[in-house]
Amino acid sequence: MSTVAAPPPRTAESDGDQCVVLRDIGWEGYSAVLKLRGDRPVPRMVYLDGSVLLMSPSYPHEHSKERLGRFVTEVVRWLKIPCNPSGSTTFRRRARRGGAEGDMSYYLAHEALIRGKKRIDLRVDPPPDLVIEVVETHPADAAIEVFRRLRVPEVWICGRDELTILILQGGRFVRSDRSAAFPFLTADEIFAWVRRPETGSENQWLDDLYHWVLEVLIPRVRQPEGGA
Amino acid sequence: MSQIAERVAPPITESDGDQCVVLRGIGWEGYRGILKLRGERNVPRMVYLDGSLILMSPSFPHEHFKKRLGIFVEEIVVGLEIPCTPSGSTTLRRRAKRGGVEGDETYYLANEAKIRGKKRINLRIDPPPDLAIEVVWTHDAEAAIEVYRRIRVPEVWICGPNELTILQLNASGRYVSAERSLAFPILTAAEIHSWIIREQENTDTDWIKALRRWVLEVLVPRHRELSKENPQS
Repeated sequence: MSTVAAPPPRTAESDGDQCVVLRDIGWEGYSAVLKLRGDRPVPRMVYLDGSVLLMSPSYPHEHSKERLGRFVTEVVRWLKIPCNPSGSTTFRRRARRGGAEGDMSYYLAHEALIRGKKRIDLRVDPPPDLVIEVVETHPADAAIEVFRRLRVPEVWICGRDELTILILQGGRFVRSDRSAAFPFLTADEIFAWVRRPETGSENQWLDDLYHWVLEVLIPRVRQPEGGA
Repeated sequence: MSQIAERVAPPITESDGDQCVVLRGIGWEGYRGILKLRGERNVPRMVYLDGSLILMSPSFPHEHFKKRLGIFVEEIVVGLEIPCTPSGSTTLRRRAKRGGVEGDETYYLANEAKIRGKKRINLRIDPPPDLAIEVVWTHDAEAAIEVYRRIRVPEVWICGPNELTILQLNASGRYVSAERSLAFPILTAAEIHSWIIREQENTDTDWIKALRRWVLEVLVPRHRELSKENPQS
C-alpha cells in the first residue's frame, strides 16, 4: 500500500463535441428522455426513426453558434426584417418519426403566424424559416434529415472549413451559394464573419459587424443591382 | 443553386475517443427509466451518481484494452485454478447509495461461492464483485470509482494509456492505491499494464498464446513458490 489518496490516472477530456446514441427506443422513449432532461439545454437531442442522439457541445461549437446568432440578430435588426428567434426549441413530429433542436432557429417569412404563441405545434404551426447547425466534430446528417421531414425551408450547416446553405426544393435539400431568407448574403460571406480572427474582444467583432451591416449591407440591399 | 446534394453534411472526422454525455438532475426513477429504454443493449454504458447520469459510448481502443484485460484475468484464473465467476458489465446499483455503475469487466472471486447459480444480483443481499476493471481512455472514471466505493467493491483496476492503478478499499471505506493486486497477490500493477499495452507484431491471437505461455512458465511456478512460503494464502 502506498499513499492514502486514490489517484486515478488523469487524461485530458476530449475537446470535441460529445455524442451518444440510444437505439430502438421509440417515440415514447424519446418523449421520456426529453422529459427527464427537463428545461436544461444539454444534452441536445435528435430523434430519427427510433434512435435518439444525445450531444454535449464543445466550446468551439458554442462559440461559432453564438457568432452565428449575433450575425443574424444584427442583420435582421438593421435591415428591419421581421424575425422571431426560436433558439434551440425542440421541433418534432411523431408522424414524421423525427425531432431535432437546431443550434439556432428563426421564424422570418412566417413570423406573423407564430407571433405571441406560447407553444409551437408543428401539426398546425409552420416550422422555422431558418435553422442553423454547427458541425464541429460530428456530422449533422440525422438533424438535416429531420429538418427535411419537418419542411424547414432553409438550413445553414456551419462546418470547420465552410458554411453550406441548404434550400428545400421539391422535398429535398439542394445546396445554394446564397441564402433564401437573406438573398443579399452568400454562404462564403457568412462563413468569413464566423471565422473572423479574434483580434480584440468579442465586442470588437460585434462593432466590426455593426459597421459592415451599416456600411456594406444596407447600401447593397437598397441598390440590389449594384450590390449583387 | 448548385447540384442536388446527396450527402449534404460536410465530411468531418468522427472523434476516435470515447463519447460521453451527462444528463443532470435525474432522479433514481429517471435512471431506471433510461436503463429500461436501453434494454439489453450494452451501449451506452451508464454511471449514475447523486442525480447525474453519464452515458458513454466506448471507442475501439477502449474496447480493445477491455478485451485484453478480460482475457488476461481469464487466463490467470484458469492457469492458477482460482474459482471465478465473471459478471462482465452487469449494472451494479443501490438506490440507498445513490449510485449505479457498469464496469468494463467485473469478477466474483473470493465471494464467488455466494453468488454461484444466481440469476440476478441484488446488492442489498448479495456481495458486490471482488474486482472491477475500468479502462480510462479519454475520460476519467471518477464517478464510477465513487460508485464502486459506495457499493464496497474491494478492488478496482483503472487502466489508462500510461499506467494501471490498483485501488483497494481500506478499513475506513476509502480507496488506497496498491502495487499488488488483492485478488491476485502474485501480480503487480506494472506487470499487468505491460501485458495490456504490449505491442503485438502479428495478431492478438499471438498475444493470447504468449500470455498463456507466460502464465504456465512464469506465473504458475511463482504461485507455487509463494504457496510454499506462505501456506495460508
